[in-house]
Amino acid sequence: MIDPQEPLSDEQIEEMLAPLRAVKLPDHAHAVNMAAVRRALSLRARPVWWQRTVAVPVPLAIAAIVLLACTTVALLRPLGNPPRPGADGARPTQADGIAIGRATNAGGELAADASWSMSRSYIGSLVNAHAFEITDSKEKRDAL
Amino acid sequence: MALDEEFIASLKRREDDAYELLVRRFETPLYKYFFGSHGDPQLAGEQTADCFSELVKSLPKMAGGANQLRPFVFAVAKNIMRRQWRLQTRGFTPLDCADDVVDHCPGPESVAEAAEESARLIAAIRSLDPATRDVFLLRFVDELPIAEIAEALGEPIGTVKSRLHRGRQRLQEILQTKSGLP
Repeated sequence: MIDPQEPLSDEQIEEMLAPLRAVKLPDHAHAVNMAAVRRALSLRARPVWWQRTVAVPVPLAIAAIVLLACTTVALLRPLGNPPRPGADGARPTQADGIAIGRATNAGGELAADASWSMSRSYIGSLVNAHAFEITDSKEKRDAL
Repeated sequence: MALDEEFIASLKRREDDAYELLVRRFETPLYKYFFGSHGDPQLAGEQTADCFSELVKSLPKMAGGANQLRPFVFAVAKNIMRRQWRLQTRGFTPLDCADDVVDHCPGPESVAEAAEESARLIAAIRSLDPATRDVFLLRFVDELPIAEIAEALGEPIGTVKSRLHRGRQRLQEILQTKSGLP
């Protein structure tokens, strides 16, 4: 019996809480707890999305790689191939450079080094891979 | 496997055997803590399972050694209990519900008066504020030392002792009120 005049002691509280200390776990609780743990462990074992791998058939993977390579080449090719002056795709020559220079210099005399300076600027726009046939500019000037 | 540093290392490596031992070691104390807080056995079972799910996620991040394990487990339990109380309407558990505690607790029928007093005290503890209630349950039901209670609740030891002292006075008042004594 609790004495109302005396404060509750630890022993009294422990004695009165004995029923709560004696509470037993329900029979199914252990299985439920283990299932929760296994579920949590399996979730933690799953990698994040950028770490996951997917299964792709080999022919499909090869086809995708080939397609990607072709697309990449097709996209990069125009950047490396500037438009050429000859419709037949022939290698640019000194004559082409002279022709361009003449076309852009409509008003004045064809100066001795004008064609060469025009050709030089034209050369500057070409990709290194393309050869440039340099012919004797003097012979050409004489022929003109 | 003993509850030592190797056990903690196994838990951090997420080994199944270690977690099975963890469940066996803590499922009953956790269930008692949750059941003591609200008296609902089904909810207490669900909260115990939730607590172990949270422990799987958070144990790898636990700092400290084996002596930190029990406070860490009850700290997770406390957070789950707080979440539950935020969802529920806070209120005093009427003494009528205290009968549920007696029904689940084994006790000799010949000590009906003692059982009635227990029921009243348990109901009174449930009417305390959550922080003080946690201190009483961890101290007198799960029998944790004061230092571990302070660690689990994230409070200084002095605060825990002060809550025990004030809680004891509050319980005295409640029990006197219920018994009709001045």
